[in-house]
Amino acid sequence: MRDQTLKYLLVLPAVLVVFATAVWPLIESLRFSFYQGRTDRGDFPQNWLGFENYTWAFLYEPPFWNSVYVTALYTVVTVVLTTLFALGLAMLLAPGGKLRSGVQTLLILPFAMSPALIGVSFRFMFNPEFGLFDAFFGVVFPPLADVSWLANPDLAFAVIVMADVWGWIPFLTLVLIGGLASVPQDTIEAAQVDGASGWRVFKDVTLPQLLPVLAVVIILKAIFSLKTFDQVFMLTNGGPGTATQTLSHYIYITSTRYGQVGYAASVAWLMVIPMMVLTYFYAKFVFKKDDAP
Amino acid sequence: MHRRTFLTTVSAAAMVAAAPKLALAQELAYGLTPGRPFEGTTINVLSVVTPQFDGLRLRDQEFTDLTGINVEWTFIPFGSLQERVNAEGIAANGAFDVVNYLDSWGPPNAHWLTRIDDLMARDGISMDRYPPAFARSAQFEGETLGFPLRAHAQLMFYRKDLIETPPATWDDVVRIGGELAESHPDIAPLALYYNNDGNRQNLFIWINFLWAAGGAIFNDDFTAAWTSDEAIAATEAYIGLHTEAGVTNPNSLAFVEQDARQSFMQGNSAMIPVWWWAYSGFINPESSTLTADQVGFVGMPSYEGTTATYAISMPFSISTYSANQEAAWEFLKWLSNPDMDRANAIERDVGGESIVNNVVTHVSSLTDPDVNAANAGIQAAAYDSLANSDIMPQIPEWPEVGDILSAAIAEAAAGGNVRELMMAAAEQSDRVLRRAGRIE
Repeated sequence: MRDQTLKYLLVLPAVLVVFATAVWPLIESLRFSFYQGRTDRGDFPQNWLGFENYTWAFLYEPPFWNSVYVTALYTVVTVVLTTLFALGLAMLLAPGGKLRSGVQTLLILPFAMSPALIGVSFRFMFNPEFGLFDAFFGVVFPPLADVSWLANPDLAFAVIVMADVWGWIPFLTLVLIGGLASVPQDTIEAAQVDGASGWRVFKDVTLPQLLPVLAVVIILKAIFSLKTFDQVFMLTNGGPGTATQTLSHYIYITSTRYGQVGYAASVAWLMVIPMMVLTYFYAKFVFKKDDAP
Repeated sequence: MHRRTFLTTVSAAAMVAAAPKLALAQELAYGLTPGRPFEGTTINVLSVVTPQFDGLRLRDQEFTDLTGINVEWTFIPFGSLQERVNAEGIAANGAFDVVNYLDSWGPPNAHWLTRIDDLMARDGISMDRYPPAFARSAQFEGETLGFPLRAHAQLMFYRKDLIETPPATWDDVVRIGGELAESHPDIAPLALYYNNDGNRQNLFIWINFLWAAGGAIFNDDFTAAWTSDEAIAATEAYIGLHTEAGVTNPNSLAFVEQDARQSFMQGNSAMIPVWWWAYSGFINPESSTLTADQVGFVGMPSYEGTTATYAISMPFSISTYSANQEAAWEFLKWLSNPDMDRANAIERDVGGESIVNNVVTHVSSLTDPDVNAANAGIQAAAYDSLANSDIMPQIPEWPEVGDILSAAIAEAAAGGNVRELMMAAAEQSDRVLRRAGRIE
């Protein structure tokens, strides 16, 4: 057998698995998005609708726009907070020291937890009658003493943000520590010799050289924030009202609870657009060719 | 006659003659088909996790002995059951012969659930053996989808050691709440659950108010009826328990039903309107700080002079995709027989396992003195509660409309304008039903 043929044969199983688990479901979901596709009727998927599901979402569904708003706000807030905290922690840990390896090990624990478990844990900790966080915040900020966090739309949103930031900081910190390690030490020392303050060194030397890594971190986190489902499902189930209903949750509820698979598929494909844009930029940064020497 | 035929006939006759008369009597009692025509068949049952159904599973050897049909149970926690049932309908492969579901999930899945009216007529079974609300909960568009083997009535549970005379009206609840606030400021008078993080649980008490006020969820043409003046007033009264009367546990906004039950069991709230099945948990030392001497129960309070309660059920139905529908029907006949319904609420040890269950669904069990004696009379109270009881609308789109209403109730309890929220929910509901083709 020629090498040319063999290499394709060796790759074929992986290609088939990817096709069966990713490509085919994508094609099917795109097909469903043009049908009425309700599971509470027989002969699924029924009634070809063309682009009606898409136009319905845009023109007649306030809950869709609510979930777009919640997702956008959630993405912006979690990306900003997680990146800032992770960068701060990375700057603290990057110089090394005796405790660094121990702290790094501890740091990875929250990231090792499943988002669903984080959701359940936070739900218990914000239980109004016996929740640890609920009691703690009540002591630290007395105005919050008699507030039910998960019953207040703004505070419930804050809780899902907190849970997400807590879960993601460790991973981003470790990535940024790696990024900081690649910043040439001599440029930093040169700036220090020239009398630059710590802030100037960070702003004009470290940050510009860290930007490619930072960009990857931000895009990666934005992609995951856009997809957030587990924590919302376990913590608030989109409530109170629809204050924390993200797009993923809206798609899930619409398809599995209400049986509107066609409509839910169209919303899922609308969600693909920002994901594709972010993925394009992510790939651009990650697979960027180095400039010729 | 051939020699082989003669011998076979004689052998069969001898087997029948030798069969225990008791077993034959039981077959007749349960309406099972004689002759074990489905021997060797295995039927798969999808069921919710509950001690009640554990009690049925532990008894299913009797069914196998009588019919030769084997039973494989798959138990799913309630939180995951709806998705599993919907997935069965989409997969359409008959993986489960018998499925258990919440009544409001019946209509969206009715297109693959077998109608059993003809089978019941053939085998002499009537839905009259159940209270009307339970029977309706297992029916769709006038046809019967299954048997309501698990079903619930609402009761008001209260602390007997704190409350001398239990409330008969919601005004009583407010009055008692005021008295408790003075005498026991460390205990919230009433545990309610306004949060919409659940299966539309915050509608369960609201609907008592709505129906008692003469209101309804839908008009005849399926437009929203909860925007009428009396319906809005009833909704304001329900929300007002928290926002105006202040008799609810302050955390009722965040509570789902489970949280409210926990609050009552931990001694943090003195009253809770909830399903009757909760009683066993309330007096179980492993889950509650309360004892049987401290927990009392009465029928639901009246509003504007009328008591109207909500009933719920979890029927068992046969899948039309099943290859063993006749065998599954035999199973349903046995599973739903009144003797077992009764025994499952009296016997506390089944096959060496402890079973604590007070849920029965037959009128005969609800009114049975022995069943009531074994369960502090809760069945009789439940039966009274069911006297003027109804179920949620049986349409496929109800889960979505119910969620819209549930979100509106949660926002109203959090301080939103009741009328505006209910009007907005009505618009949204009309849009959902128009899109589904239910409204012209």
